[in-house]
Amino acid sequence: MPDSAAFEYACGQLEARTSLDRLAARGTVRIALKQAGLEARSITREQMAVVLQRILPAELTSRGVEAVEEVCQAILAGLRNVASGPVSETPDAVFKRLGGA
Amino acid sequence: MAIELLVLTSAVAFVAVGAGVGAKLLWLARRTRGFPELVVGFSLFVLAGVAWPLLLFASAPTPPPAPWLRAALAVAAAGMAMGWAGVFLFTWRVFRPTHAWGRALAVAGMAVELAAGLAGVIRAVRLDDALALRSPSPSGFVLLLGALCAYVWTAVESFHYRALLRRRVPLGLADPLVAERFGLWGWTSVFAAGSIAPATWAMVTGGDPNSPLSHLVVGVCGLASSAALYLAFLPPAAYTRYVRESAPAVAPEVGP
Repeated sequence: MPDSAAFEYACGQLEARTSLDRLAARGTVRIALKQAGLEARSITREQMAVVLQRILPAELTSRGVEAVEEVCQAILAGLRNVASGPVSETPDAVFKRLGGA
Repeated sequence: MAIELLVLTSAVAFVAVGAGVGAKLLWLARRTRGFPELVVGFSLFVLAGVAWPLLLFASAPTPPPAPWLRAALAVAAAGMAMGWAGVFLFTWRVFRPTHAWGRALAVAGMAVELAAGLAGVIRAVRLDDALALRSPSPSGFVLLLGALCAYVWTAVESFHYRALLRRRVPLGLADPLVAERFGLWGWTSVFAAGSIAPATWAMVTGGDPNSPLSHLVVGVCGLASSAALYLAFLPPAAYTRYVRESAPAVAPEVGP
């Protein structure tokens, strides 16, 4: 299954705006997603925004990336234009409904 | 005597909770037209509300008349097969809908369960000695083995997803109650597997499935499975409040 548009966008922007190469950019985002309990193939635009605000800055700083705040803000701004695409029903959506929560 | 009482209490609890939750989910499916609630509701209802009571009836100390025994075991075999096939279908469609291996595992599991169930129905109808129907059979063994696989798969997927959601909770990306529901569904599966494990093990070893130890395991696991199922899908307000209050608070924003 291909990775989501939000994941691809964030990785592409990170590669373009920092000194990280493709592999390092994708690896860094994947590590951030893992910390957040998210998966590259199913992450939504809204979830990626939270990762960009709360987890990725620390990951980029630890890799010596400069102007982390500006980079994340720029990716965040562009993320709004990323198409959401068809999203299949997630397990948590199903279990939320099953419990009536 | 105490163990027999435990087994009986456990069976009654499973029938009541399983059928109740199954009926609730079927009612939900009627309203939402959702496939997952239809499948899991049907599975729970047919396993707990149909197959289990008939098995209890068929295994009563005084055997029922032959025609009744045959009918009860035939319907129970069909019910168990459909119920456990439904567990495979639910786990595949909810957790691994786009994975080829998930589809292969579910289709294979459903095929095995339905074939074993059909064999059980034929055996119940055609075996000359009706009382011999109360003895273990190869089709029953395959049915139980398939069920164990379904429960193990379901437990692994549920605990994995709970771990993911627990990491999302402090970020405000998941509801703690839903995260714990995955854990409870996983425990329901673990204890359901535990409650059929003694019978399966006895078939493998030729041991006694009615030994005190087997009954103790069945009784404890049956009660635990029912409790987990109840908390997962019919959560009392006190439990809901406890989960929400003990969940980690959403962390303040950092970074840009």
